[in-house]
Amino acid sequence: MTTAESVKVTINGQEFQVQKGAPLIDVCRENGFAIPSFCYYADLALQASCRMCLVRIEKMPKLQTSCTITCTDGMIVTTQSEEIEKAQRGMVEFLLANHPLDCPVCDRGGECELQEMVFDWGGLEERFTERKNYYPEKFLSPIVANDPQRCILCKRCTRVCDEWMGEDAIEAGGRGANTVIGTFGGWLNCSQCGNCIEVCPTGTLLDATYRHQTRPWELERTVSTCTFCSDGCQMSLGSRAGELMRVVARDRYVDGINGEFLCIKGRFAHPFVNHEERLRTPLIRYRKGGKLIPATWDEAIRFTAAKLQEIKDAHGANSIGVVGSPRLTNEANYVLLKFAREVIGTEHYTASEAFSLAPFFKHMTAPLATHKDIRHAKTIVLIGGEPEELQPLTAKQVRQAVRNGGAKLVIINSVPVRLKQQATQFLHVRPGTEDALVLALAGQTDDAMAARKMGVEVGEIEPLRRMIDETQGNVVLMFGGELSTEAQTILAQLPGSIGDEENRRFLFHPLPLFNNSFGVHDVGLMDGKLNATGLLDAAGDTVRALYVAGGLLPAHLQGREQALQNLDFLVVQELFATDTTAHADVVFPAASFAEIDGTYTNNDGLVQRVRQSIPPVHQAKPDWVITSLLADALGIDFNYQMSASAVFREIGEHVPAYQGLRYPLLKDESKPVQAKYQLAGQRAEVADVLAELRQRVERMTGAGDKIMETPEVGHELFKIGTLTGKVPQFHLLAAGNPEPPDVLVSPLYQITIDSGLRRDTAIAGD
Amino acid sequence: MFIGAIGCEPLQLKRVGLENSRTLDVYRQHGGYEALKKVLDGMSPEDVIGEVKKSALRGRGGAGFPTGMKWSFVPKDSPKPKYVVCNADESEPGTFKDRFLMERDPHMLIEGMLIAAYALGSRTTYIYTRGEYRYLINILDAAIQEAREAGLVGDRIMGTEFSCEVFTHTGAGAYICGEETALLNSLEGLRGHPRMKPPFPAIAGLYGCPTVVNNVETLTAVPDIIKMGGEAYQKLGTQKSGGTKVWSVSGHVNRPGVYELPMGYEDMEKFIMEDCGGMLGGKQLKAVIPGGSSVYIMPATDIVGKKVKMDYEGLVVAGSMVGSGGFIVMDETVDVFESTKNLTEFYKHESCGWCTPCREGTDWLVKVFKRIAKGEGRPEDAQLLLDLCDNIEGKSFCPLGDAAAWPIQSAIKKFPEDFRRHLMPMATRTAEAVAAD
Amino acid sequence: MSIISDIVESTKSIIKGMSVTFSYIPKAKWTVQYPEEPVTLQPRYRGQHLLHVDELGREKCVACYLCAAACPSDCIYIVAADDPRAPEERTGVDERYAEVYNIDYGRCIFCGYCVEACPKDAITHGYNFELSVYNRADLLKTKDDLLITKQKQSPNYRVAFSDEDVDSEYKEV
Repeated sequence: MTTAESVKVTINGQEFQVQKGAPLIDVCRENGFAIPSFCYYADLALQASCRMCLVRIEKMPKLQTSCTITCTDGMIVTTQSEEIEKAQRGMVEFLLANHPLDCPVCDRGGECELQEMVFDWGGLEERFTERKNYYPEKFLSPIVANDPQRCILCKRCTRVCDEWMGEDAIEAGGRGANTVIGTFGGWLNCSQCGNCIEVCPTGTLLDATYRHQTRPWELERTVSTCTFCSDGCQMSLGSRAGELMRVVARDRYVDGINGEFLCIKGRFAHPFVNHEERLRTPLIRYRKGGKLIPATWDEAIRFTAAKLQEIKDAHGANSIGVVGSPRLTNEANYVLLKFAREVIGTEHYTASEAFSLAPFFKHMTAPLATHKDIRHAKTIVLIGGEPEELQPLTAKQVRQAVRNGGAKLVIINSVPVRLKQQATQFLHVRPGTEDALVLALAGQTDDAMAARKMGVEVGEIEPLRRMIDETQGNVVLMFGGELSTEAQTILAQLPGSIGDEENRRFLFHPLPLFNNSFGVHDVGLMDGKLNATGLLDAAGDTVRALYVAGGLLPAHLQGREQALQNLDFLVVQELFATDTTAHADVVFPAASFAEIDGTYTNNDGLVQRVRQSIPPVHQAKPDWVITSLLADALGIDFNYQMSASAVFREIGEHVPAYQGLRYPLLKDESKPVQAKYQLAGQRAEVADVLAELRQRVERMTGAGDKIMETPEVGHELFKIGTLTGKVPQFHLLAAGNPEPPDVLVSPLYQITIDSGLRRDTAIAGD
Repeated sequence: MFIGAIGCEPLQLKRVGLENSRTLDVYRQHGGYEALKKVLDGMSPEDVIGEVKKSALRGRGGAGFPTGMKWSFVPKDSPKPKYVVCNADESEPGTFKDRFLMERDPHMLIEGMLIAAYALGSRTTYIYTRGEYRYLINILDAAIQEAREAGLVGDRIMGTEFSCEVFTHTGAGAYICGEETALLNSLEGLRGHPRMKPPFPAIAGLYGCPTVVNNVETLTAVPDIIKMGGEAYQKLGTQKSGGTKVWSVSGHVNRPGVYELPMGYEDMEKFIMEDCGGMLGGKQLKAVIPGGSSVYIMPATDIVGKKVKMDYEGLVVAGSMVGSGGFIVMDETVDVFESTKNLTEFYKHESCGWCTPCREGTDWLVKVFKRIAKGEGRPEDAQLLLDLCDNIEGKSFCPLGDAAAWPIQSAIKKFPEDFRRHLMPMATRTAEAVAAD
Repeated sequence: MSIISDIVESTKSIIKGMSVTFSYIPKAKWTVQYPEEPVTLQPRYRGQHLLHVDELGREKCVACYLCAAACPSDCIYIVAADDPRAPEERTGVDERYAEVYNIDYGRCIFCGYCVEACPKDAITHGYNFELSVYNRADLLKTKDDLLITKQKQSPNYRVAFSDEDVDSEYKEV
């Protein structure tokens, strides 16, 4: 809003100066006048169907819905009067007419907006004595349960499905009092994000994984950060008696960057935390080829320390490699790095990250975009990546920026991703030729050559450049792992070379895959001599022992299984028995994200808290504790006194981007703190990189087929990995989400899926 | 069945009685497309709108909004295409005038639409009929084809620069699609839900472009206005509502039919008793619903000897509305409770389900009516019905809620006896019956 | 105060106290010879809880947790579960039922709030009052101890009829 004209509005006799055109309902609520509503939901299309937010506006006939009225000068509003109260009580009475009285079995009971409304606006006695319309409770998918009878038809769910997810999977069917929310064809084939469940004010749409488990007031709520992708959604972990029961993002519990948005993984993939296959005790393999035998912590630590010392003495410090993980907290990775440098003294440390952002961080000339910036951006350039599947919150923000904010979206991708529906321009390039576009944007090649290599028309590049030039507002540059390190460098330098104009600002938004991909770069774990594959290739040769925290990526391990065999000694910290632990000599049971305190840094550069919701299951310990126990056994006491905040204080002292950060500063999830990244200037040394990039582009064949098929919804999200594989519903989804014979009974009880059916490795390897 | 004009020269119904009245030849023989020619020959769009304003033509669909004013709301300088949509979704119980006009004189509608399109700068127009009027589509399409072949529809109409296309579209049978914004949604292929107003269709209607939605009878009046001039047309009626109005008369009269009356026809009693041939079987008049089911019901006491003027203002004074002109006459054998129940069931069935009061309210009302009809009425039910109507009226998203509430409110107020009889507990009623024997 | 007045005062007190004692000796005794004789309990007596079943023998409890929420001493623990079977085969009347229903009688204060909170009339107070155990852990009663079909009723009580004047039995001395 550039025209922030202020107007005078009188509400209940009090005068207020408000922004012209602001929704009246928001203005009233901000100024302390409670207005009830069901269908009004900020940033969604207006509905005005629940008729709860009626107010009297002078000079207007009839009562008006305050959600549809925008403030104009001299408006005189009454929000409380006998007439309004009668109308509102009438509406609640209407809503309750056909609403069943089954609160005792309804999972929403206790956090139901309709219940709350009835407390304030409900009648003492029910005048409706007729038969209620009846519909049976049924399942829409393995994850979404539906009780149409409870529906008040606020249609938040259909709007969320359309506007946030762009999927339009649920819609109202029927007419009049027979209107029900339903799916096309009776079965829900969508990305199963569950946002419809989240925004539902009643118990109409319910979480089928948490169905009939407990009640909301029994849950202990902990605000934490999602562990699945780099968006870092804030969520509320509900636990009871040491068990993680559910994950929600309801904004009365948590108020993070994502509002009430979560994706299927964030919301439903948590049962791995209390899964019975979690590692229970430390395990030791006393001789090669033998079995892993449960051991005490003391024994395992002593054994490991002795072995590491032995190898260090025999082959030197550099024969020991330390591998962290972008899934672990900043604390864990920092302590690991400190262990590698100070205790072992090795130069071989890294993290098992899918692709390195090190060149980007080194050369970035524009700040990072937060998700809020994306929502209000004017132009978004997305090079590679597939945020709908890998960074769903980013995809949602992009979609809303286009749909509700009128932003322009340019997609450069080798796959016709679903987001292209929203795109102003889609450059469908050949696989692996995204680099050429970067080169063209940098103005370092003629468009004809780049277009030929990418397999697009020459004229398609110029409009994109013009779009960026003409933007009045923020330009967000997003890129995925497809770019080479050289292209990353050049792209990072691009804003510096184009230059900011008065009304235009460049922002970056890289799309790494993991929850703490930024963190591993920030603490410096990615600065080691070799990367994860390099370490594996050197295994048995210069590298004699590996200390792996958080497991190796399946992509790294593929074809290198022998490497782990060649090691003299392999220590692994893991949640579950995996391909990596199969070769380990010592396995430590690590604590999952729900059991620890720490921080993750998301792809906005926001440092967000992870909080302990339940005590570590079995004998698990947080990763950084295990590392410091090992350090202690090797003679160096890190002196953290078992306190994660002590570790973070040290990070705040030693890591430049986190200078001065402390846990108390990160307390409020509604005001996230962005790490202070150093912006690079224009650099002469990139000339070499540019030459290299040009060569790389020139080497491209400029031939080959394009990928024409738009990937299915959920092709990455539903994949079975170590963590998602622990959730039975994911197996159903991975097997193509079959519709069960009887939709009235949970599909889980009706369909048995061979879990080995589809075990392709997901890019993110959850 | 009577078709014709009373108290004036027939305008709308001039040709409906003729043989082959729906053909272009007959239409042209009787002055057809002369108005269009006059418009294209030298009138500017502003002139046309000016004439319509002068004619005091008011929307015949029910709301009675001045048509000229509606047309002048369309922004002239909008770069977007503009649309004229004919609302032929004539679903109001008791109304069947549009069907007659379209069935027997489709060219009059086409001419009216072309003139409107010219006045508004539109190149594309739509006729949206209700699902039950599917058979009319063939008639309309044939007429459009005929006109196209004669160079009256399509590119360069009558050799001028003006080009305009007329399309037909049929709904799927929903009363709500007679509401203009729901009609537009349905025309776009969406669910037939009303849209939020503002923005009004004149600013953002079909596909977000400026659109004028007019009733069939409104558009068919336009050629005559152009031919005779706005002022002359207005003089046929009254100061505020000009011209003639077509009434669909049904119910207990000797001669039901389609009647064209001048606006401001002086006496409703005379109309029923003389023009319509009096009451069927000589029974007593009990009630009249003058404007289609969605208006207040009028008891005989409000009509007999009251000289009710039949125009927009006159009927409001008499406690009802012109609505869409569906004139339903009921004699003394009618149980107003039953007729109201019937109407309420209609509104429940046709409520689109968008907003709470209409969706749940009509459902509740019907349930109460059915319970009372089963003999389980309670004395407090009358108050309950009134209270529910009060909670629906004025609070719903579109006027359907009001339309559902008004007949009940007026029926209970004007015919309390009919309700009281049903609301008495079963036991009392039996006792009364025994006593009567 | 002198010793003499002390003696006088204390003697007076003893006489006063003993006069009450002696006055009861000739009166009729109403001691119930429990456990040889059953105790008569008021109809509204709040003893050990009972979990009720419907006419098909299905548990009435739908595990809504309202009893646990109402409990001032926090002695009720429930684990809800889903029963996907057909209605007539279910454990409970609804798809949702209590897989675990524990009451800790070490904490229960027999206030009856749980009974009042129950929307399904699934829990009431029974009459069993012999709850003493040798091991404190045994005070935790599970669903098997509480279900009306499974709870063993003590032979040591009888419940007064609703119009029976139980009070006078005690008062008439």
